[in-house]
Amino acid sequence: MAENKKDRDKRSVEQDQIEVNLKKVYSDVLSEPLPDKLNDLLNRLKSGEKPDGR
Amino acid sequence: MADKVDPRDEIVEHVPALRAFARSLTQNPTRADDLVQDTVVRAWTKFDKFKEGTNLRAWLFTVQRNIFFSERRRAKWETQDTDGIHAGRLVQAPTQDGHMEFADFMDAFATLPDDQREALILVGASGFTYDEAAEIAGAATGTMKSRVNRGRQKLMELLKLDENDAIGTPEPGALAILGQAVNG
Repeated sequence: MAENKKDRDKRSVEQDQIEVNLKKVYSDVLSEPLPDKLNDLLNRLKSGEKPDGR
Repeated sequence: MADKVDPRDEIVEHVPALRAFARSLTQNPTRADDLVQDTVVRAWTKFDKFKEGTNLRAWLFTVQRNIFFSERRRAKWETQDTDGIHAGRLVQAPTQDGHMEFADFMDAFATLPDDQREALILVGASGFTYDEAAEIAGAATGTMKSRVNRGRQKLMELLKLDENDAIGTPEPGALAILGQAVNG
């Protein structure tokens, strides 16, 4: 019984770690500055230039 | 008189989120930014397809995933782990006993099937509801729930460590998942 609880607790910790890491995968990119090529593209679009893609 | 606001300007606010989603789809920063570029251009030029009053971020994610999967089908981008690079890294001993290192997590995450990786990012990280994520992925809500559950389960299996792992023995279950025999 005690072993089962230990297993459950461990599983819960592992699940929590997965959730934390999943959010980190995402938030790490969110906090990065945009690369120049995307900034340039956005500026061109906002200034009314016709986008030419890649 | 105030300048007329272009509703497309709102797309700009979602570019960081598009980058994060693109990174999870492509697993490659350069490809991810190319994908975001294509997505922004497509969304900007086809903005008339967006239904005003609906969720712009969800629409942009849908545009992006459609471009990604359609390009990949066409160009056969598939990054199958034929060389076993990810698998090989995963069976290496963890650096700390029982602690899930972020690098280990990323390796495991990269080995997930596309649909599970996408589902985990949409629901587990981007904050979309199951219904929204299902709509983005063009799947049923139940399918999305199943993908999230299977993705979490697979990550748990791939990353499962116990006290014995401290001496460098990968767990048999992880080896089995990776298609390797424990004893030769």
